[in-house]
Amino acid sequence: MALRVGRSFQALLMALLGLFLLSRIWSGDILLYINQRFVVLVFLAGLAFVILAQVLYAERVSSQNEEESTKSFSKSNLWWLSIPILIGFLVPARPLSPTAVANRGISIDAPLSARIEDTSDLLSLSPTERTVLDWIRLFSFSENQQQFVGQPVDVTGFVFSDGRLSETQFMVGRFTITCCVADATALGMIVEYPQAAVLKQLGWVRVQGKLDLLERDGRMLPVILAESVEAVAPPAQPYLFP
Amino acid sequence: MFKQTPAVSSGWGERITAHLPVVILAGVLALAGIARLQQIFNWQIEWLLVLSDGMSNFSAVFLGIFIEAAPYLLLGTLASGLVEVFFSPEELVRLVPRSRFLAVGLGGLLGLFFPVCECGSIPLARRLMRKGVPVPVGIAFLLAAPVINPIVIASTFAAFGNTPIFWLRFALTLLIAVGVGLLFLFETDMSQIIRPMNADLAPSFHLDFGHDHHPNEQSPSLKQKFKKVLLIASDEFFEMGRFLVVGALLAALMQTFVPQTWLLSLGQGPILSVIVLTLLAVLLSVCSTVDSFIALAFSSTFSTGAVLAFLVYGPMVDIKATLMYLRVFRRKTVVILIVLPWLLTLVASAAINLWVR
Repeated sequence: MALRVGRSFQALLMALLGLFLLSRIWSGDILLYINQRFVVLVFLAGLAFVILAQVLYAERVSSQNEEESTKSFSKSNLWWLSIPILIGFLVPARPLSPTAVANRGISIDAPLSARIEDTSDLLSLSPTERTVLDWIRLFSFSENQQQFVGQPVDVTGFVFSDGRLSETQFMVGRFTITCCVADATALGMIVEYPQAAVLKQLGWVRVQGKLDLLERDGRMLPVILAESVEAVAPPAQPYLFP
Repeated sequence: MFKQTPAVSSGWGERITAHLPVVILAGVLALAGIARLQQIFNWQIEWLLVLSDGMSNFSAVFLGIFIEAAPYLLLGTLASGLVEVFFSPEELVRLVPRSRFLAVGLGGLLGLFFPVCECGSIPLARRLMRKGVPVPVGIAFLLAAPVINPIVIASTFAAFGNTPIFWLRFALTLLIAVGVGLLFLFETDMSQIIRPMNADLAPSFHLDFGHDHHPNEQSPSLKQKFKKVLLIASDEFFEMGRFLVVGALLAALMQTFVPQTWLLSLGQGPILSVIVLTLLAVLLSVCSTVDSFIALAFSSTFSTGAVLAFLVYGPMVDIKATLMYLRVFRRKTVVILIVLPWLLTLVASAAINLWVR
């Protein structure tokens, strides 16, 4: 009897786990948790969980004839697995909020690949379509950074300022997710803007302006000379995937 | 039906875990409920806002780790089920080379054929050892497989290319895994190393119709065999899954409340930087298939040795792996499995920092 109940509970949890994964893929919320390249894997796992639930549920009936049904089934294992399912279904899917920058820090140059990347894809994008990540990548991997000076910039991100910046500067930042939210890294570009001090820290803004170079600690960094900075709603997909 | 028989609850781990999940579940739900009420009624009370924000970041990180790792854990338990059903102990032992040193070395390279990360290698390693593969071989496999496998080789190459770090990562991992594995050659009593099979796994394992017990019975059909693989896989998924849950909970807690910036500002010296990045590897608990991309982010601010240590030690030991180790091995063994690779990594990486650069 104990085993029978255990099997049913196990089957229920498996089914819920599978349905949770599949429903998050269906709604697109899965991208608030993991990089898109893992979605297929998670989809297959979701299907596998549903199939396993079916097998376990069928076993509920057949196993009662067998001798081991007197053995008590460990319930605590099952309770543990209900934690992600309940958190998943009950806590609304929300992206990592920019307040996490305080814990994680922000980087102005993440060398996203140590090899010289082929930047032709990024170069073929119209300058105003490039994201914060695209610009930082272009800068890391281009030999001639002067070619970008004066190009129009149109990026969206959250406002971040810290002691390293002057009063007329702020950073426009985005989180990048390589694997899952656990490795979220904030990337930021410096923006030159006279009214930087009045911007709401961590609020989302759209920055339009021209690109320029700034020398800092002996390195050339991209800086945006802002022409307009407007507050916007957080984008539906707040992360950038390298 | 919820009571645990004394025979089942062996050791401190069992006693704690018997009631802990319900307590944690209740606590998490209460906090989530308060945070949700704050969002619905839009109360602008400062500590509630902090709580609400922390809760949503916490659950994002927790679910991120869990969703990412669950498919790999399932792959590992499916592999374990396949080994259980389709290999008899005699067949498996025959595959192990006679020379013990050769066997341990091959154990370190076995990951090339089982491309699993740390969540998957632990159930598989335990299965192999219980089926008669010598413990040193199993431990070499356990420590090396998360790195020495085709997926991780590809992702490390994508991140670092043909650089010293790429080659050193695999060389050092193999060296440490085989070294630690060889150490276990001196302990001949397996029960001193591995915890006995617990009864809560018993239901499906008791079927055991592959070989010995009932030589007269007809061998089960392929369909029955596959059903058994699936049952073993799901039982093991639940058994190991709880450590994934606890590991992800702890990692998410630390990521929400312990500033990484603080940790990163601690050390830049040739030795301190190695210590800091190995600690960070444990805290982050990211899967070995992607950690090289994360290591890249540190390569501009940290020494080569420290980045290498992150790549070598992280896949061997992190929060969720440690909890799974506690399930499989005796506590003494777990301490060895955590400390010895750490010391070896530290020595090798510090040496690289001090003399090679």
